[in-house]
Amino acid sequence: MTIKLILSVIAIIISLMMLYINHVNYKKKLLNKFNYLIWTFIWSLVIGASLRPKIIDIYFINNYQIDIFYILSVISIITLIILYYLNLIKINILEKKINNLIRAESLKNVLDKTDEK
Amino acid sequence: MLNNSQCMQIKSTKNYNRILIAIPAYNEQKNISSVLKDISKYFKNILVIDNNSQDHTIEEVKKFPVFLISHKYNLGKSESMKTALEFAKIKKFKYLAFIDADGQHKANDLIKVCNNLYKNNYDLVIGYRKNLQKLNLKKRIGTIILQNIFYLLYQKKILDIQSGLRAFNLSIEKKIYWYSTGINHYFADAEITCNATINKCNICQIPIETLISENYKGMNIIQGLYLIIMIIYWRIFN
Repeated sequence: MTIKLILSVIAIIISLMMLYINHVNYKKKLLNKFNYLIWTFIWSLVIGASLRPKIIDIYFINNYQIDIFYILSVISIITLIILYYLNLIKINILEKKINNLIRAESLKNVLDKTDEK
Repeated sequence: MLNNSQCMQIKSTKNYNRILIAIPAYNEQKNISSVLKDISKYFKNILVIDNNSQDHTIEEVKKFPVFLISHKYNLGKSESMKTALEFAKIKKFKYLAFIDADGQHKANDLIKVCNNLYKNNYDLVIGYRKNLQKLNLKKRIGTIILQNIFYLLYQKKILDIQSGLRAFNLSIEKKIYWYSTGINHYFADAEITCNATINKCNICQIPIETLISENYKGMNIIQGLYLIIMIIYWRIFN
């Protein structure tokens, strides 16, 4: 019981922190309104589930005879791997674009100069 | 210093104007002048690729009649080498040689590398450090381990897979093209060696003197292990 409570408190603190970071990023215009609302909804859902975990537990056990903790673990791991993979791809694409852009620009500058000569 | 026969050898060689000497540099204001002073006596096509140095490297380079490409951000050694390759292709050079900007290589070793490249029609010429015993024990052991792992995987004895002093014929460019970038940008030399070996390029190794400065850091153990993983990866997937 105590462990469940501690886990809930940790989840709520992290979610509140993420809500704040989400808000800051929205203000900085790093997220559009749609992204902002989706992430606000997701973190609010986590807070709700942490405050009343039994509601979800009862629903899933009654309807599907499965433990919510098991489902959440599987979903979390899959989500993490997918997010990590997508981020990696996006970073690699961006890195490639920046590298090509910088190299092309530097080359253009030196070729312009040598052509002038 | 070069002896008379070597100087004669240079003068008799017409192909020197078909070779581009590329020097990737980052914060090398102390060494770049002496490197350029040495090399520009013998080669006229020299390209310095500055990786957004924060010191006076660019000002030092501008004192010499060389090509200078300046990256707006530090892209790492690997991308600088790609810039040099692009430049060499645009300017239709036949050969491309790389030398480190920290002054650890000598001009006459570069000449030896270049002479071997086109006189004997090699695809790739790599200079290997013959004074390995001057390195500290940790680095010596690391180099020997790398040599042996390379031999085990690629069935070819390459004495210094990571040597910064190397030259190649641009006709093998597609065979040796390297993708090391980001955190492993220093592995470009090793990747070129691995690709050339896999694609059965005609590789020559010649002994060179290496001046090991106090500032020479080399790789740490984690980078060494990472390089070993990459060597295995390149063997399987390249």
